[in-house]
Amino acid sequence: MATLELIGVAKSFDGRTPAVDGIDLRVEDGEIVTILGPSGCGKSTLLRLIAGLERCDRGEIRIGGRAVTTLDPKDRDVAMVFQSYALYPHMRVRENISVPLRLRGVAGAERERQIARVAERFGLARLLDRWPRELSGGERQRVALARALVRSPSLFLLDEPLSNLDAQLRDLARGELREIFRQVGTSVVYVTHDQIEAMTLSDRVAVMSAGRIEQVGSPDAIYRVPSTLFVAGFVGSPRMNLIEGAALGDSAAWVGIRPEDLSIEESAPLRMRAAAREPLGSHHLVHLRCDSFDLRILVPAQTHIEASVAIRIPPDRIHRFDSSGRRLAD
Amino acid sequence: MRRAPFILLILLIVAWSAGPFLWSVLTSLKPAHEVFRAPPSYLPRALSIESYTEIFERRPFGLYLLNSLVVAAGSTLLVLLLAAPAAHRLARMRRGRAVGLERGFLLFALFPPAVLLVPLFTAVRALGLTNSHLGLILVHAALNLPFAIWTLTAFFRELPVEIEEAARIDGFTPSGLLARVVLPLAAPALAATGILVFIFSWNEFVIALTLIQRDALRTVPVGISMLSGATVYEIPWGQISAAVVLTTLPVVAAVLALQRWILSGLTAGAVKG
Repeated sequence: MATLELIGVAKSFDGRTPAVDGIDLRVEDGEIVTILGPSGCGKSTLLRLIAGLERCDRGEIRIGGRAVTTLDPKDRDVAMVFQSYALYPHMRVRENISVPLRLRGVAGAERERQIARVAERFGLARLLDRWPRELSGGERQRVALARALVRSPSLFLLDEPLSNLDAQLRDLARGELREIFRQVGTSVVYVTHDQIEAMTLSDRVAVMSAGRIEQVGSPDAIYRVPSTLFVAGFVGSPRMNLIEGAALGDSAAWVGIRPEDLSIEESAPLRMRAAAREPLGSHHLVHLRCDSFDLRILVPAQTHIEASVAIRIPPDRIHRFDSSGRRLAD
Repeated sequence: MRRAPFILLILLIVAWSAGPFLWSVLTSLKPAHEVFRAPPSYLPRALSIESYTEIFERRPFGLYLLNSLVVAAGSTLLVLLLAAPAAHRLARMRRGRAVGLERGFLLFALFPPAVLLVPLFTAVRALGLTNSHLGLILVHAALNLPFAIWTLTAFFRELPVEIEEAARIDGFTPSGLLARVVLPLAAPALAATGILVFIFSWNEFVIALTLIQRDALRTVPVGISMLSGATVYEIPWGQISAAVVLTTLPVVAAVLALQRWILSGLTAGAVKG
């Protein structure tokens, strides 16, 4: 268990375009922080920098107060779960899990005890003598977790660990992960492009775009008070409506309003035409159009919508951003 | 039967490739007088292993086989020992930097060894290694190293890099990573490359002929070429055939035995499906 500090961490692969562009981030002892962003935003590179699989061009990385910027991965006392699980295909499950212990000189009997303990926790006791190729996707993922956690690392890194599972299994595994994180109490950095994972698993979310952190905050804060235009558009499903301020007679460059915050009210002054309807199960997303802009509104599935409707935009639910994408004070 | 022409073509190719070898087998099993019969008899009328006993009793063929085994195994081992770490490093370099080196290796692999004969001989003599197995091993290894590095690099590049990254985080040192993770996974490629190097060295003639003059140190190809009859005009075809059969069979058997294992992927189950 330890804190993680990133100070001005930067990395470029070609010397010109930065992959990670001056990141400052602090993960408290035992905290679970998710790095959320679209593909290519540099989130995996950031994780690899923390693990030591890549070297920073600039900046400093500290784990538990100790500078590890130039240390090899094995000397950083971190554990990592890869998207592809990266099990050793030529070793049985038992050997896979025992590798990190053996390489740290944990003796035979103690090693067996710890393997048994972690196998019990991850439901792998039956599978210890199997080969990785004989396991299902979910089982492989649990072996990868067991291998990472068998030796209580200071810091636990996960790179999209659920994205190779099918949707049903993913929901299940997400719940299990949260349980595991809570039990082990290790600081966690979790990289994902899936906002549901980010929202449900983490204490804080760091939203990344183009190599920079756009916002760090609790899942709730990220959703309620997005501090940049990018976060406003990226977090939340269905996506926030983003309209040029001028179209609404607002002084801000951009105005955002979530589809779930809009309502239909006969007395409202804004009249729009219904253009299309997307069923989403319990709710439908209705596309609305007027002369200067489009809006999407979320309504309960059985709502009847006329060809022309009056829309109320609650003023207290509006997000306003300046031309550089920064949030304007409410 | 739409497959008939295809099967016919395959049979033709097999006959074409295996024909000379089959002829050697048949010749080796004929008694000496039948070998020279005109018109030739295709199947031996009387089976005889006289050619086989002759090459062991009247010539040091067993010694030749042993010499060949030492030289081929030695050079194969040396090549794999040097090529595997080099190829691994090369495969994990950024692509742009590696390409130049790889092309260089390929160029050397394409160089005809005969062109290098004189400088190689001079070098080996300067080292005092003529008439020694070590000298021949070093030359065979050197000639095969570029090819081996080139093929192994291509294979290592296909190995999922995440396995190695997981190993680095788990605590393997670079040499431990190579020995305990990379090489076991590369076993099929090592075997395939090793077989090719072994066959090269096992069959190689010109350099072996040049570097080794002492009969007791000669390898099989040179030994066979030295087989001669009682007079210059008599070529002992029966014995030559017997020697060819005896040198070819072990290699064919080894390749067949390893083939299935080489073809079956070892990385199944490491990443994704």
